[in-house]
Amino acid sequence: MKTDIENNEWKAEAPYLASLPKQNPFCVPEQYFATLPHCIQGSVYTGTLKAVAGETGFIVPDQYFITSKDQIIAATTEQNRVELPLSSGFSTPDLYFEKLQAGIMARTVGLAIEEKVVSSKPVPKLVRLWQSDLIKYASAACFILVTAFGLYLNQQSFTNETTVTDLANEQMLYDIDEQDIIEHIERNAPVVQQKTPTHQELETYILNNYSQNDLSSAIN
Amino acid sequence: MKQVEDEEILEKFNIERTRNEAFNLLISKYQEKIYWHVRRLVIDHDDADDLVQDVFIKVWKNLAKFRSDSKLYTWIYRIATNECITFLNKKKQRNQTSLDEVSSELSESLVASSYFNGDKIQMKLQQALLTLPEKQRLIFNMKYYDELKYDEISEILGTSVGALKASFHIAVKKIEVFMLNDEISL
Repeated sequence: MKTDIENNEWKAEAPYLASLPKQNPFCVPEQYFATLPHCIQGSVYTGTLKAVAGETGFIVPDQYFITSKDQIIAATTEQNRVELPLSSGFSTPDLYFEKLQAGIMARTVGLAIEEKVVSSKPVPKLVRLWQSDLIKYASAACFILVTAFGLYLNQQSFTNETTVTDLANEQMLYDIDEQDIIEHIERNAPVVQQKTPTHQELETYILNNYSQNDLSSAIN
Repeated sequence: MKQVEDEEILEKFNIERTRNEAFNLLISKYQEKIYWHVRRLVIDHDDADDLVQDVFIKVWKNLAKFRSDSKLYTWIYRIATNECITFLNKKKQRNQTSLDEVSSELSESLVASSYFNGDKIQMKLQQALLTLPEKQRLIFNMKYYDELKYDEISEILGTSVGALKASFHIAVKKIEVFMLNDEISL
C-alpha cells in the first residue's frame, strides 16, 4: 500500500513515463543465471585459497627492487636510443609516396605497355662476335696471314724501287759521252805526290824484312 | 520454487557443515536481483558479470560478521551499490574523463551492446537515464525498476527519505522532459 502511494505521486508528475510499459530492456547470455552460481563459487574458492596460501613462497635477492628500477630505466633508455633513428626528423611532401608510386608505375609498366604497342616487330637477336672459339682462332690466323702478306709486299716493293734507281743511273751514265767522263775524272782526281824511296831506305827495308837465305835464293 | 527465508540462510551459514549450502541458497535467491541492479548502473554485461562476482565474494567474506541490524537483501544491495560506484569512479579516473563523458561512453556501450533487446522507446529511456547524475540514476533505478521503498533505499544508500524523494522527483521530471522532447524528434 505504501509503495502504491509513492508510485502514484510520481505518476501524476510524469504521465508519459507512467504510461510506458515497465519492462527490462536488457538481456543476458543463454543459461547465464544457471552458470553464475558456479562462477561465483569458483571466485570465492580462489579468493579463499589466496587468503589462506598467503605469500607465494618466492623470494627475491636483497635490494632487488632498488637495483631493478635502475636496470629498467637503463634498458628503456637504451631501447629509446636504438629506436631513435626510426624517426630521423625527415619528412616528405604531402602525398609524396603516392605520387612516387604512380610515377614509377608510369615509367615502368606504362612504358613497357607503350613499347609493346608501338613496336610490334620482333626484336633482332643479338649474337656476340667472340662467343665461339672457332671464330677466335680463325680470326687470329687471318690476322697473321694478312700481316705476313703485307710485309712480303712491302719488301718486294722496296727491291723493285732499288732496281729501277740503278737502271736509271746506268742509263744516265750511258747517255754521257765517254770523253766527257774521262775529262771529268782527270779534272777532279786528287793530285797524289808519290815519294820515291832512296836506295838506302830500300836497303834497310830489305834487310829488315827478308833473311839472307831468301835473298840468296831470290838471286839464284 | 519456494524462496528460502533470509533467516534460514543465515542460520545455515553460521554452521560450518552447512555453510556452503547456505551460500548456494543465498546466491540462488539474490543473483538475478543483484545482477540487474548492477547491470542497469554499469550497462555492459561483462562489467556487470565481474561486479556481481565481486559482490558475492564480499558477501562470503563478511556474512559471518553480519548482524541482523538491517535486512539481508538491503545489506547485499549496499555492497553491490558501493561496488558499482567504485567501479564507475575508477572508470572516470582511468580515462580521466568527466561525468558527462562517462555517460556518453555508457550510452555508446548501450547502443553497441549485443545484450540489449529493448525497442526504440526503451533505448531512449535508458539514454535519458544516462543524462542524470549518478545518484539520481541510482535512486530512479531502485525505485522504478526494483520497486524498493524509500525506507529500503534509505537503508541501502544511507540517505534520508526526504532527500531520496526529492532526488527521485527531480529525476522523473528530467526524464519526462527528455522523453517528450525526444518524442517530437522521433
